[in-house]
Amino acid sequence: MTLFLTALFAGLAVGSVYGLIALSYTVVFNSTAIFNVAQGDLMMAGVLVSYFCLDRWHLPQIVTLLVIVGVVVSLSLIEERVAVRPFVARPVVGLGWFIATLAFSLIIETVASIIYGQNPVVPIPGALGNGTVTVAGVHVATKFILAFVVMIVILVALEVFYKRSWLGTAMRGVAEDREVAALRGIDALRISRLAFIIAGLVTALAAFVVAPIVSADVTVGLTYGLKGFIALAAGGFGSLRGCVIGGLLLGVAEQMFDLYVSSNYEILAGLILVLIVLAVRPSGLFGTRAVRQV
Amino acid sequence: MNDMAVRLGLRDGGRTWLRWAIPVVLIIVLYIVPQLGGDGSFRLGEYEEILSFLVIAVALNIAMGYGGQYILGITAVFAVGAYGAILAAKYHPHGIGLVAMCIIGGVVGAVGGLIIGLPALRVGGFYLALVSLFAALAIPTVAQQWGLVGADTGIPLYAVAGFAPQIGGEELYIIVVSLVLLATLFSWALVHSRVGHRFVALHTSPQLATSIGIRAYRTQLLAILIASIMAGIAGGIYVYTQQFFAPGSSSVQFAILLLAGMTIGGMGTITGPLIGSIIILGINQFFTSFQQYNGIVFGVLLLGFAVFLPNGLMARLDVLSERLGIRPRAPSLTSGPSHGTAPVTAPAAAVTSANGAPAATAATVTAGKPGATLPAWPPVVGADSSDPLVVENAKRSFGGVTAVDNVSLTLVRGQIHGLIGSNGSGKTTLLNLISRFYTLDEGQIAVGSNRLDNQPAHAVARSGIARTFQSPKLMLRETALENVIPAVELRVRCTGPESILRLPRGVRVNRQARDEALEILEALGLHHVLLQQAAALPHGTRRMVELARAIALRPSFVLLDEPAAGLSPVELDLVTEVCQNLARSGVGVLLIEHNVPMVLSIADTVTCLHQGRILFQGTPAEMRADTTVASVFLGIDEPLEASS
Amino acid sequence: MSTGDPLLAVSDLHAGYGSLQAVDGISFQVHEAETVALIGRNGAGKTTSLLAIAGLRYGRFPGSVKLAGTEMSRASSREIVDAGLAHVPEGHRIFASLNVEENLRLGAYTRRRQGRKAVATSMERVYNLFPILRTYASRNAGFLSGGEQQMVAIGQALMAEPKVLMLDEPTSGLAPIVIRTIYEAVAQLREQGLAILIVEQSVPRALANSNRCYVMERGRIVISGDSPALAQDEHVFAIVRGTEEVPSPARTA
Repeated sequence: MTLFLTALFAGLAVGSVYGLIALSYTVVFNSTAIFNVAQGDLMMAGVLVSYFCLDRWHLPQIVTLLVIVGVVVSLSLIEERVAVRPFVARPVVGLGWFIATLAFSLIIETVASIIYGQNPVVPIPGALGNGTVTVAGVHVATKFILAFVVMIVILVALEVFYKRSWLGTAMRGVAEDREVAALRGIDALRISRLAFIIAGLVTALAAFVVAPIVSADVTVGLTYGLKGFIALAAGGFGSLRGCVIGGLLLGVAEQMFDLYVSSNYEILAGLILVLIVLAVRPSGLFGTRAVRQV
Repeated sequence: MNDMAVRLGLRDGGRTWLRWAIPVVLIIVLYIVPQLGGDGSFRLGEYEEILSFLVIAVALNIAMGYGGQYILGITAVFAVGAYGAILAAKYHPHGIGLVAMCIIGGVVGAVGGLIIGLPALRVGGFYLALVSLFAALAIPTVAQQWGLVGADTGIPLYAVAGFAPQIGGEELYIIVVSLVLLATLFSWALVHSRVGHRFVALHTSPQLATSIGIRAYRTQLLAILIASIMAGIAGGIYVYTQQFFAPGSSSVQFAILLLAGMTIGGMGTITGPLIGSIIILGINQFFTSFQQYNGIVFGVLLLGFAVFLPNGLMARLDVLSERLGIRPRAPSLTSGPSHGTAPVTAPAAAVTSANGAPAATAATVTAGKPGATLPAWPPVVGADSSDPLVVENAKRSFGGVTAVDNVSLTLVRGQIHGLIGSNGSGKTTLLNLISRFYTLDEGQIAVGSNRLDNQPAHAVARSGIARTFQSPKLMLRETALENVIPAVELRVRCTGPESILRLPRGVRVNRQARDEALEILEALGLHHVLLQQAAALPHGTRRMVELARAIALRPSFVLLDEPAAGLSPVELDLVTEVCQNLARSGVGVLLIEHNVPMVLSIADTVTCLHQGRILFQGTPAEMRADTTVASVFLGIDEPLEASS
Repeated sequence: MSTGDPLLAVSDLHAGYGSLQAVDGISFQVHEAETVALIGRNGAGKTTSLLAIAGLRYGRFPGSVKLAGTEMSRASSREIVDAGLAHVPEGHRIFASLNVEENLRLGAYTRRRQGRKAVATSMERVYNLFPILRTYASRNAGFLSGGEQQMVAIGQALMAEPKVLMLDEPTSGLAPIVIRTIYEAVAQLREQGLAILIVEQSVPRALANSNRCYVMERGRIVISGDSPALAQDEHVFAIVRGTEEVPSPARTA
């Protein structure tokens, strides 16, 4: 039982990171109908910054967080300008935007590996320290709890933003009907830029909480990106809560697969999960919006 | 008309030697490369590696460039096929040669491709791209851990006792180049066969494809299957030439490189992906000193092309040759709507063709004398019955709005039934219900005992019900002729392989389909635009081509959605003539139109819809005499307070 | 009535999409407290004209559009809204997944800095104009009937407190009762001083509810004049029905 609970909490923690990535995807997608393939690599960049700040330069956690946010949001804005805006303006045909964002992720990855070089993987201290708490008789690392809490907070914040604020409502409007939004004076291009800023923020936070948990290297950007997509597909496109549920589901599924099947083939858990969900419920568990078809 | 040109399926523009020159030169270069290099067999191995990747590029081009299926992770299929082949060779080193490896690779690859593709197909769009990418990530990761396939180190076939490849050195190289050539020829043959036509139609627009009876799901699956088999075969070739396979032989990065090659070379052409892949893979292979920075170079290249040159180098070549006066202008794929639809808010304007026709290819429709030259088009599909198409109490709502409310009408063969009504009255919804693009909430639609409303849309088309669209949906990159041929191919049948491999029946049927399409286009006075790309045609001509396509189905019923919108008076006359000719030939015509005088002049029966309900149904004479229609629809004598 | 400087003055407007030159040099004015109708057959270029004026540009743009004297032909759609022009496109398009109140609120997006009170006041005015919307305030707009959605669309445009309101076929496909409600609202707005331009499919309806009228055919204005006078003119009906060819040059009744 202890093993099961330990795996469960670990799964919830990692799943929270997947959920955060999925949330970032959704924020961008809801405003631009574009799926940002580079989102995972943006997170990886943030993780890298985290290493440098905490391990190399020994900066305080708060400063680290700010630096991460700065870097990731900047990269997001660059990406929006370079790889996304040309496609948002046109009527969408084909998968040009997919290729463009994929190309951007390749660039980030290469730059990151040049910067990081051959350095060995190093554990990062968690923001709340490396201690544990006891939950249901099991030791749970505080960094796990932080990841989960951050995700919940972001989810709530996004829901409030979309429902209550001018910008959030405007973003929902633009997602529905760009032309009518334009006729009401809502600048769609500005909205898509904002979406990238928000997504960058969420991704930066994901990087901050994941760095202590999974001390991985620069090649995992695409892996996290794809897993975030699986979380999205399982949870359902267009639904914020779906992102969270999908992410947690994936995280837990992976840990359970580790525990009961084999830890070597953990990656299959994701593939099996997405194939099953797509076969049974193509729109995902909470799916609402139609995916922009090719 | 240059008969030879038509027969070879060439495009307009006179000298097309350039289009053939490039691939021929390319093939020759590939054959003589070893002579140029003068290196030993080590280099040959590297070339062979690239060549096997080229086969994957060809496969991906078929599925993605033509079929629109973004199976980006096709490298996973390649890996699976390769592992299958190498495992077979490991345990039976004496019996397995190149051919066996290719076969095993192909089969295993097919299975792998289906496993990945089937679920993602249900959702469509970029799901397939991402799921297959995930597979491309997962396969090597799993292989790294799996002892059976040699884990991280892979399987070195050269170390297996008893494995002695029969072919080697330059002989092997020549064979491999020939295999690439074969794959390319196959893809060319496929693209210009009935199967390829279905791919392109589907890629252009699932609605277009459905309206000419193409089964979308099956076609998508076929595209993925063919690509998977070829990728698996590529795995076999790789294993035979390299005698080695490890997880590192196929990675996500590799998938991205392949995609880069396709994008740069230009998808949707035969040679584009080859050139692009050779460039990219070549750079990757031979500039290892800067390997670290490769990602940046490729990333920037890929990004640049995706944004500025989405159709790749081949499109640039088109532009260049156009400037040199060799070829006509070709449209770019991603710079505009892919199937001729204007953005939702811009209506079809009634423009005189003098204003509207693009300068380079002004094509005026030369209509024959009214009634004199149109051939008869008696129904072929669905001709076994003489029953009318009956709509009974059709009802359909969207959200809270009832778009069609208890509408009944009968479409009699050999008669024209006009359907009029103001915007939003439900006319197009009704047409969509009949053609099964929408589902009925209540009621039923049938031809005799054959119920239509519970069949899929493509089946309805296949039973002899053709339709056009409010905004003409054409395959823009194809010629007018190539747009009509797939419709003929629906009823002039042969099997896929017969058509692809140009077996006797296939050749005969291909030619028959082409000839019939030709006839119809010429009857509609579209002689001048036969070999012009649809994108270059003005709006009115596009409508006529779509009309030709509907006729080409030789249907029993034709549903026309505002065929006259945006036509010049001359074209309008022709459309009127065509409708009457269809009716004379025994086809039942449903004519939705805003042009009330036109409808009243040719219709046998008229139904007037208002807010989804029937306001009036009867003969034109009766309608002219009826005051309800006049008052509500035409708006005369309406009891509204004047507000000036 | 038609006195003073026009609030909307369009001169030699051209617009098109791709190879379609849909609007071929039209000129007209709309004054304060005046309703002007724009009629013509389908495809005559009416919708494209309005979209071009509203800043959703189509093709090249020689010609001038002046709002209260200020040249706006190169302005963005947002600047045009700020300058006081609101356009309601055809098809009762609203934000389906937002509720009625959110839809209306978004109409005031450009005025969001003016504070909650200002926005609330505008919303009250819209509810007074279309009382039925008050009862639907928190219902998703996608679930309303076509007529109710049209009211939301018009209300949304009004939330920007425009001086000029353009309506593209506001009553097409709607029940007579709803048509009456909408035109009554239009009359009220005119009395409040708005300059209103309506594209209308039904000729009698257009003429009965406007002060002046322009007839478009193939991208040009071919007839213009006071509505009561045009209501007696058979040519107008014939042109819109398509049974008569365009007389040239353009006639003014």
